[in-house]
Amino acid sequence: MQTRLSPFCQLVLMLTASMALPARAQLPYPKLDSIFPPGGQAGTVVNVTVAGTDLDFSHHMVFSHPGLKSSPRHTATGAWHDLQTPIPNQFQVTIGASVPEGIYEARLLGPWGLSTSRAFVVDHLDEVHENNTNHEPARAMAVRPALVVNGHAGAATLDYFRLPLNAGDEVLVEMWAERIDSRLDGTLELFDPRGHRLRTSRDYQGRDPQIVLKAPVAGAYLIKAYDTTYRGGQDWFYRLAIRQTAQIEAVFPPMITAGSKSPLQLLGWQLPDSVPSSLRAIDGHLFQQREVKISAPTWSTRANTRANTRATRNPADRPPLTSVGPRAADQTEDGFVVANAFADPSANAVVVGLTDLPVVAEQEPNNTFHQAQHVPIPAEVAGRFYSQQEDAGHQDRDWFQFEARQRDDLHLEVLSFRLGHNVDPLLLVTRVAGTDSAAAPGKLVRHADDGAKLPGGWGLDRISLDPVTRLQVTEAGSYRICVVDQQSGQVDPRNAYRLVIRPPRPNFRVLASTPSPWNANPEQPLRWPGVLRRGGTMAIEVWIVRQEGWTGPVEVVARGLPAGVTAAPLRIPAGSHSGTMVLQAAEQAAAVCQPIRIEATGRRGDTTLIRLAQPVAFEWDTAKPRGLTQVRATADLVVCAAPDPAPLSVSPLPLASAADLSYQIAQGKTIDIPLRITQRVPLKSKLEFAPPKLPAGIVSSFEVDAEAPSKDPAQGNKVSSGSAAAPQPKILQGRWRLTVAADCPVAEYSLLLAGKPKVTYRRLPAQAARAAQREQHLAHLVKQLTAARQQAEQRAREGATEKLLASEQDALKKAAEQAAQHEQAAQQVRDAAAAQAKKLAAAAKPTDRLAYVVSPSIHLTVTPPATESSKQPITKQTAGSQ
Amino acid sequence: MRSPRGILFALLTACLALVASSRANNTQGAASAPAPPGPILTGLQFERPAAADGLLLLSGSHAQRQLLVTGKTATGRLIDVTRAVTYSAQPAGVVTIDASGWLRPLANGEVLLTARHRAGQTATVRVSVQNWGKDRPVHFANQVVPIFTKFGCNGGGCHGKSGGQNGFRLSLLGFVPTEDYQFLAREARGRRLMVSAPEQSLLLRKATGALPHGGGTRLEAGDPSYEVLRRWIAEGGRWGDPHAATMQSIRVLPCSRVMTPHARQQLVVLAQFTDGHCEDVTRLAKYEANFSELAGASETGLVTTNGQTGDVAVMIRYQSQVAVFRATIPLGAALTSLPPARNFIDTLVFQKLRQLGLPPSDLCNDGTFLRRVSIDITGRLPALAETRAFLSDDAPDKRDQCINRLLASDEHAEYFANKWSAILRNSRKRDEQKRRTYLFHDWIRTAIHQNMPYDQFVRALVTASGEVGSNPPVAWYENVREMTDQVEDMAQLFLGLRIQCARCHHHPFEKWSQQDYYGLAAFFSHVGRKSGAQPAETRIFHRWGVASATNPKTGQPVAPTPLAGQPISQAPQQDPRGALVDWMTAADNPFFARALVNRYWKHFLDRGLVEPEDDMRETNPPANPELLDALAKRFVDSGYDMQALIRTICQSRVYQLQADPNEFNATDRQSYSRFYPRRLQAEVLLDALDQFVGTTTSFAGMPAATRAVQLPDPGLDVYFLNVFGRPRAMSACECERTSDANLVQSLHLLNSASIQKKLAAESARPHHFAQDTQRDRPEKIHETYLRAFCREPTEQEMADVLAYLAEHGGREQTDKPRDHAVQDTNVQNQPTGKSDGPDGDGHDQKEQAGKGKLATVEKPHEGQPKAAKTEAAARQAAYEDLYWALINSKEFLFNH
Repeated sequence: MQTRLSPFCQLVLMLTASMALPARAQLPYPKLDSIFPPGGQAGTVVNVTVAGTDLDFSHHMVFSHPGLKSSPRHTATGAWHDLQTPIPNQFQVTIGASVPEGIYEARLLGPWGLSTSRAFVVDHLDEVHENNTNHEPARAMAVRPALVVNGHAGAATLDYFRLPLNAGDEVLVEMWAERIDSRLDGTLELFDPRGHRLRTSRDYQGRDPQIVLKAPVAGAYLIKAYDTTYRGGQDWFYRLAIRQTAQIEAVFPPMITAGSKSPLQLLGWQLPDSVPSSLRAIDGHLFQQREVKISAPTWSTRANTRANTRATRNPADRPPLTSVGPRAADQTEDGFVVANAFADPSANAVVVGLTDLPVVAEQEPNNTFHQAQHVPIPAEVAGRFYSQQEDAGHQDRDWFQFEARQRDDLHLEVLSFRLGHNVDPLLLVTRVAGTDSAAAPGKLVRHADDGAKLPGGWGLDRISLDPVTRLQVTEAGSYRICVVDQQSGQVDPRNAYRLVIRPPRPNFRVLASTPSPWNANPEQPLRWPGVLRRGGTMAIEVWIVRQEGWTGPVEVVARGLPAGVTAAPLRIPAGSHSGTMVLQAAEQAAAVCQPIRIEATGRRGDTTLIRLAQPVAFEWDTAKPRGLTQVRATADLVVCAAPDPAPLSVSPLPLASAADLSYQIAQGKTIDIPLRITQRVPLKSKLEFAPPKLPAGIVSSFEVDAEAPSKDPAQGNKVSSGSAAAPQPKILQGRWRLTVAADCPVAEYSLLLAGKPKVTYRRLPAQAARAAQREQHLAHLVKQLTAARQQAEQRAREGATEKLLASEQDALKKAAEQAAQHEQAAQQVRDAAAAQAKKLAAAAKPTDRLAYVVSPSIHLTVTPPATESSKQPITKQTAGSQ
Repeated sequence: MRSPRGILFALLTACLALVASSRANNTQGAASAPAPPGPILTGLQFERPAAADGLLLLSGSHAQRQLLVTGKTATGRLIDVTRAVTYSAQPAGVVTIDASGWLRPLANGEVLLTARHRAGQTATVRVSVQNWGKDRPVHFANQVVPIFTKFGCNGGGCHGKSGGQNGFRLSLLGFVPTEDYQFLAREARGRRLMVSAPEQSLLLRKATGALPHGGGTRLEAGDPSYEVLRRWIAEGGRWGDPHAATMQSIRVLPCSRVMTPHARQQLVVLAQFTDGHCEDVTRLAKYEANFSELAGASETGLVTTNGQTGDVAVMIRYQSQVAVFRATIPLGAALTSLPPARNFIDTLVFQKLRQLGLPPSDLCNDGTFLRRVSIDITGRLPALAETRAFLSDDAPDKRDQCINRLLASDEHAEYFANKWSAILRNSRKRDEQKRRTYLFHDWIRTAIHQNMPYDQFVRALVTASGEVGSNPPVAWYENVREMTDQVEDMAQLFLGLRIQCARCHHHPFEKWSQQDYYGLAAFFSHVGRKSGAQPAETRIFHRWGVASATNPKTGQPVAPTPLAGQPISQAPQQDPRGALVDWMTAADNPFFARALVNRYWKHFLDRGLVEPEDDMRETNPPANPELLDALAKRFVDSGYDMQALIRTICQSRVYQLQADPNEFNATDRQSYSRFYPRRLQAEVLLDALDQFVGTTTSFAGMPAATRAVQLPDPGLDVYFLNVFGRPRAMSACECERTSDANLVQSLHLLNSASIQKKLAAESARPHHFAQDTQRDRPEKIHETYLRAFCREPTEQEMADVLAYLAEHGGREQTDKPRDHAVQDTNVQNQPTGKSDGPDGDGHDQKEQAGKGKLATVEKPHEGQPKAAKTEAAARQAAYEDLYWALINSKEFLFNH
């Protein structure tokens, strides 16, 4: 944190900071790095500072909860309204008293639309800021229970806090960092009043540490917080919460049968009416335990109760950020939020899984083949990788037995890694030899370790560590399953699993994101805000996670689009795993932000399956290979047309006889699709477009025809100047030729064109012009104030020579001094405004930038040759004019 | 070097107790003293194995036998008189004996052999020569291959290395005779042997130097070995009887002896064959003493002691077998005032010292103990308050209390984490691996702080699976990625065995074969790796399946097998590493506890009971086997309590002996008759320097006030630490840390800008002392000595330092304001340094600054404030000199 500076100094600093951006080769795309403080108390107003790139002139913060509102902050200059200047990157956030505690998405809205997202936490505790002088034990910052400290880890520094406690006080100290998008890899250490280290914690909730303490003696305890490898800076923000309220850390079983009212065991700390559990947390403490009864939603209404996992405080509900693909895809679909497990409003909400099968709980001892627990099928078994007998190096093994009939077709799957647990489960299936079930280990029929790799790259293609296999029974009899966690070390009773045994149900899940088109390597993804400029387009990548043998085609549509934004449905053919959905903004689309839904529809027999896409986003740009790429699920996918016009757009045109961008072509034929290219700024490279992905058997080429007649051709070369008096764009015509090979599969395809042209771009010309005007205005004001000051001084001098009372003379003198102060204040503001105007003017000069342009997607139906004549005669057809 | 400092340095080093200097001096002792006249014997006998009817049997024309004649002195001691007797045989013509007792047959028959000592005693033995003239054909493996070993032909530096030498290859040390036979008799169409004219064989002509031979002349024509080779070729260069007996074991006679300095002992080495017959291989075996200062052994098995006292072992190798002869060379002095034994360590060490007649030094004083034990347990000097409290404490058990206090401290965990981190190879190549090394280091630190039992510590490491975030010991599998490295590191670290030789061939000094090696390797054969949930990290897991490794020699799979144990069969889902640790941590494991106690013993006593500490083998016997066994047993019984082990060692009187030698034990380097001083380790030295001077060293990327001992990995390039031998954590060997002294180190401490900067820092004590107006000079000197050495300055030291400070540092504020003129004159009379010679060094800016300071003192009368300032500068410079001299003293640089 900065030390206290005068508002003017702050202003100057902020301006300098926000303007001192390196020249970029691309168009501006706003990326939000940090919000500080990264959260606040419900029912309060919080001043926050944001940092990132291309955030200039952001005027608004957009949150994923309507109870969170923001307004920009201004410098306070007393009565002089003219001197009030918005403080860049500073906002006032009003948190409604009724906003439930949880993590929300926060984005910035500015001239280029919405930025990437950062977490903003709402809690019910009082909040303070780290005082930033607490880097040695002697200068530890005083804290108390029921408090949240917002802080930053500094490079190679340690933060100390002094926490006075009475003997027997129970507190939970938790650091929130990874969970709230910080780069911090936190460590917490706790020392007793005599300076002896009591605990060290790391990687308790994902990478975030947590310490539970029952104070053995009264005194001042010392908390030491730092990044594990002593890194630090603005992006290493954290929230240190000291709680004395109920915290649920795990539930068992991890799922409930839909429509039932079932008992649920809660494990946690400071749970009212709890009993000590026999289960021990990894720091050696015995958990507290409490039973509650929970009514689960019915299976048919589950879609309405879909868990927004990010809105709960239970860390297990927010799977570690990496591997979010496999985890997010599965977990959120079949879970529901239990916000009030018992009557304690301060307790955290938890997510409980939902199943339509009976739930069977694991019964220890079942550690050996011969102790296998009998389970009826189909069923879901709830188990835990934990056994009381466990000692170091000897793992818990869980054995189950079921009877299978000839020709049973069974889907066997373990869900645990995907529930957010740090486990690596292994699933073994053996057939019990002969009729003697006591016979030796049986014959191994299945060995399943990791799940399928999610296709698609972009950091999402991580392997799910949960095993999944299919057993088509050829020999009726008894089968035994062994489930084991393949890692040693911590024995954590939070690590529960769901073992699914039922016939396969082909199914799919959907993920959606806006990956950067500038990635050289999909393994090193860059954050990308998905900016939709007026008249332009924005691409959303949609991934289909196919499960249990699902192969069918999927149609994807976008719902809830803001006015002026459209999107053609996207077809993902059978067997394919991803597609690109393109949103298109009208030329005059209003900058209205709206969360949209990406809905995918497929068919399983006669059943229509509708799946809502889970939005995911990259946390940080990955600078180098094997860096800490992080991907996480986001609460929503918000779209907002930016006022900044797209420099260039390319649109396929419908054929004369068609209403939309649907085309049909027979195998072995060629089609020419007419294109309209709208060029709003001068182009510095050749116009080249090509489909980023082409199905096998289709060849594409692109050609620019001729410039369309424009009303005022001279305008065409003028430079775009933001929203101010946009010049007439230049319209070009082109053709997109698609040649379909004779062996190209008959299917429906979504295709699009993309290009990266170099354009001449002016950054914020309107703002630059306004800044220049403001500077002139302020200069004028300064002149006036100078005159006023001179006048006041003159009056004071005259007063001295006149025979006035001393008090009158003093008043005159004071008036002169005040006038001087006003003049000085105005002068400072003017100087800052001048500096800003100068920088904006420099930035607004035309420069060469690379733009990423995609066309709206078309719908191409490839037909067999025989059907050709029955449809439109489109072969070798050149589209007519519009 | 500035001359006043030079003077001061010389002055101080001369008067400080230089306990450390005894390390190297006087090792030659009375090497040239004439051998004492032989003692009076009361008995004489031929040594021989307890064989049937006391008959020495020589079978065949080429049989030979080394005789061994032992005399008994009046005190009951046994001495070798093999070369001091005269031999005669009746009847003549059956055998011949040379002066060294080398017996060879001449004809079939039986004789009575008599050895007569000059004092008149005689001993007899009956010798029977049989099968003379009826020699069996030479057996390649039993007779030819040992010759190659004896003459070094198949050594690792010669034809034995992989790929051979100049086109001719032999198996290393003859471990695979079938290969040797192939190379020699079959390869190159047998051109190396010429059956028709054996003497013209390439093999012999090269070996005798008749043809140019890179290895020089190894054999003389006519040597017995030459004869064997010649005969073998003449007989057709055949393998020999395929059913011939093979060698089973060797033994040495005698296996141990008490010897006097400058004495000789003949050894006899007998090889036992599978058919029960026995052959004398004394002249074919190889001999190597572990302590060349104490004794040497000749090619013919004659051991000669030098002038020193102690234990020496001679390793005897013959083909794949090894045996050891141990000699104790007592000094024979009287042990009049042994301190009372505190624990079994004292009992066993004093027992040894009694055997040796080697009186131990006295117990060290409290200050020395405090400094020593603080450095050894916590890697730091005691704080001033600690020293004062300890010295003024009257409690009889204050040393024990001190040990307990140190063991409970964070610094103990940090210091030992530093030690373990290095040998567990906790290092990084890239920045993003920091998380791994830092977490692992912290895990080790925590384990030591919590006094995790050693068996659990090792189990956590060896059986680690999962990810580093939740289970930091998996970092070991990242630091040590290759399976072979895992096997070898595990053996070296936790079993004290260097088994790496056996990866490619039979271990030359051990019984371990490749089969043993791959039996161990099989335990690690199913360590799987997959990407972790955290990017850039790996998840270690047991790859499902039955563990097995392949012996490259046989191509056969080898099941997981503990050393000298039976193969272990396990289900595919069972991680065999668990079984490995079960075996290692079993109470009766002969290696596990011994390896650790020996490692820790070395940490505290500077020399392992077995040295090097991680090369424990039959041929490298411990200096005090009873002590090693007792320590190991106590360690196992305590539940592998590492702190209890340290407590036992540090509480022993042996650990608390003075480093200063008495008149007897200056050369003792293995009997622990005194504390062996050692230079402070790099990190400890840097921290000690900072602590003493009152400065800190900043390490890039680490929080302020981080001490060098606390650095989690060697990733930071710190010049000081590199110069003083900090390990880079590239191997499992503690030998990677060097404690050798070299010129660069001396120059760095004496001259480097960084040290000078520390001395001159505003936070440093010289500056504070110069500014401090409350305390007088003697007080400050007192404190300085307590901080550096945990002792008060001697009167002489105090006087010398006071004189120096008075001369160079001007007046202290607390001094009575006496004659300024004298002070000023003193200052003015100081050389300004300008006459020291050309200032061409360029590397010593501080030096120049110092000169400048003194130079300004020449003008003391320019106004009061300036004078005060320059006086303070002079005072500071003088105190800097004092600190500089002390940190360069051996008493500071050494733990003693």
